[in-house]
Amino acid sequence: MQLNNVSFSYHQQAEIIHDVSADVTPGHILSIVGPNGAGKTTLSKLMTGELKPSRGAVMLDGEPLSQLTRKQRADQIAIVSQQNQLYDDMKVIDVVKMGRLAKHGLLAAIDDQEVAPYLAMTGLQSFANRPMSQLSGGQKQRVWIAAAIAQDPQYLFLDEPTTYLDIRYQTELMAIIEKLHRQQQMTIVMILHDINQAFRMSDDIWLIKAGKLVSTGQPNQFYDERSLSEIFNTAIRIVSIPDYGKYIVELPDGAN
Amino acid sequence: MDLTSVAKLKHVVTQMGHQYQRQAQAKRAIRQINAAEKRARQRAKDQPTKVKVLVLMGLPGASYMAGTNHSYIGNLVVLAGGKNVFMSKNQEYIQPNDEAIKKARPDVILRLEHALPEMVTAQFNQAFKTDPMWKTLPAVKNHRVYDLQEPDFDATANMRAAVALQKISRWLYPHTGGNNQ
Amino acid sequence: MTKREAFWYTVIILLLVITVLIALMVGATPLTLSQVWQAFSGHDSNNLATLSQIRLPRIVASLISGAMLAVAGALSQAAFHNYLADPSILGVTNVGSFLILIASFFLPSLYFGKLVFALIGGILTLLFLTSRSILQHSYKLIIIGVTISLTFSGFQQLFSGESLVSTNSFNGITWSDTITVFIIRLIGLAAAILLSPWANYLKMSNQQLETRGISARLIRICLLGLVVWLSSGVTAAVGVVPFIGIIVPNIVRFLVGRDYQTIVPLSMLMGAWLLLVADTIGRTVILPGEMPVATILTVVGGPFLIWLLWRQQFNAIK
Repeated sequence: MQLNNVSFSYHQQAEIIHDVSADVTPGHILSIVGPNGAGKTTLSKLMTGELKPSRGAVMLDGEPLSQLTRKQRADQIAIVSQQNQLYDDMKVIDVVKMGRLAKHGLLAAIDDQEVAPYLAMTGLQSFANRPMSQLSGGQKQRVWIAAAIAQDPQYLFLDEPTTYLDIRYQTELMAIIEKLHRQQQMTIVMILHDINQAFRMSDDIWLIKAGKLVSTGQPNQFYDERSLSEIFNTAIRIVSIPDYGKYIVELPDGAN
Repeated sequence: MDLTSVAKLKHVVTQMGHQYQRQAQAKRAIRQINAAEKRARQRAKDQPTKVKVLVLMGLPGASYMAGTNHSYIGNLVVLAGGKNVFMSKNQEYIQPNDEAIKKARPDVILRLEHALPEMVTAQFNQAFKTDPMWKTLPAVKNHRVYDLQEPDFDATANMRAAVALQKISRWLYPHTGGNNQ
Repeated sequence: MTKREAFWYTVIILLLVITVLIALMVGATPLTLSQVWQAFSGHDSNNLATLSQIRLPRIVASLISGAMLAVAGALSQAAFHNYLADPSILGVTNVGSFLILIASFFLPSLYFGKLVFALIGGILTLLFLTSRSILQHSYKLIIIGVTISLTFSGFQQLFSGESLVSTNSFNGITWSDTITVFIIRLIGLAAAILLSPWANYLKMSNQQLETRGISARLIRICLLGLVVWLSSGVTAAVGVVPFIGIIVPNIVRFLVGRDYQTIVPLSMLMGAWLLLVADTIGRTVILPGEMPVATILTVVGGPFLIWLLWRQQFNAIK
């Protein structure tokens, strides 16, 4: 996937994304990092085709994403968004089956066997027939990931997958994502709230600020207090924690 | 004004005659009605059996109701010496049941078509044609289905009550006296 | 099929069989079960005429109409994300019924004319309801729907020009009505079963469906088309029959859960049963007269609806 001079604005308003050009390396985990309001979600929506660039183009296998049909996009790209609520209750297995619709016609009857692997990968076998309303936040998030990987996509986009989860579920979820990445060779694009999580898990980092791609590279290139402080507009220190490694900390106001 | 029977009509006419100083005209009208009632009684007298009558009121929109003894037409049937197959304690019209109509076997059917007569007549004809129940009734077999239309007939009594009663009386008992039976 | 689903299927099918037998027996001329049997085996032509020309077409018509209304209700609730969104509440059927009346002033009472006008009325109402932002606000949707419904039934009374409102009923329904109307409708019911997974798909947001390669719009249009097709068929044949579309799917949800692949077929059976019960009561309690089925359903459905609203803040599906 390539981004060629992608810009975006709603109607004729000010641009939210300015002239972003970059390549997504196949098979890598990429994290888009930046302060709130930098345009992370907008950028990811441009990359999934949910939004169309006002200028420039997102290319997928050499073709502009905007020219693919809904179905063709769903074949390549799966999304776990922040808004995952259901209007009415469904069984876990039925939610996961809906992911398979990306590969079938609308009238297809998908049998349980077909989605069993995706339930297994996310550790949901024993929940298959439970209603979604009875699951915890972390379990629900796993179902949405299972539904996304059931699309068998080339690219998996995760927008803040760990928000609203307590720390134990966050770790568990990240472990699942890493496992998936290893097993399926999927390209994963994430927006993560927790910068340390992003740095630890990713092969590549895109730093964006005010709609601009400030820099790209591997995480270890970014352990730099000055540039991080500048991007996040707050005082940042990098500390070393035994058995963990480098850890980015935001200092309280005025402690600089 | 309650005009659901001939008696009530006479009452109203008398009252209005008083009110508007037209007692003479009122008396004349009532005399006419009384005469018609008397003729109808004469006609019905000596009949071995009372004719069974079904009164239908067609409603725009493909349905109909049955007029009971409390409706104006039902009252005319009583005065003409007929037997209304749908009697009621207090209702003027009831929603009839097909099976009940079939079971009642009316000899005469009176179809009131006062509002939008063309449309309602067409509806009646359609219903009588398509629903096999009607063909089983003596009234339909013997071609004794009559359409009641304005100005002589209406859902409530009017000044043509005498004519209306005379017509119904003749439909119910086409042969005068008892000797023709 | 889960055990629970199988149980309720069995119960409802049993109820249906029993009710059909009772409906064959009762009427102006009550028959015993053996008399019914005798008539059908050709030993009693008079009773056979009553059974085959009056009772049976009426039973079949109410069964199929009930099934259609319940399914239309279930699909409409799925499409609007609202448990109260029944075609009769939303005004879909009243507008159709009013147009039929207007049309009958200009055209002779042709059946297919009626069907066309019921369809047009339904489509116009749905187009109006799905336009703008009404869809997003569940209370607004219901209030506007009810208003449309009341307005048009008022118009209808006005245009009938009578204090007596034309109350349509199953009385006088014949085989030719039943067959011409309902064979076509059975296709609609079959389509509803086939498309019932789509009602489940609409539990996801439009955006989520898009990312799975599914057009939410297409699905919604198909389902609402089916809703109009089913409900207008009943309106054209027997007039507005309220509440079946609310009562039945909600009871079925309570019994077997939220999966439309079960809700649709089970609603079909239960709707058929409920309307047959209501109509059978209507044609027997005040003989020789009839109580319109709409009256009975309003008496039962009104309190049910109040209870539904009172029991839980039900109407927005969450």
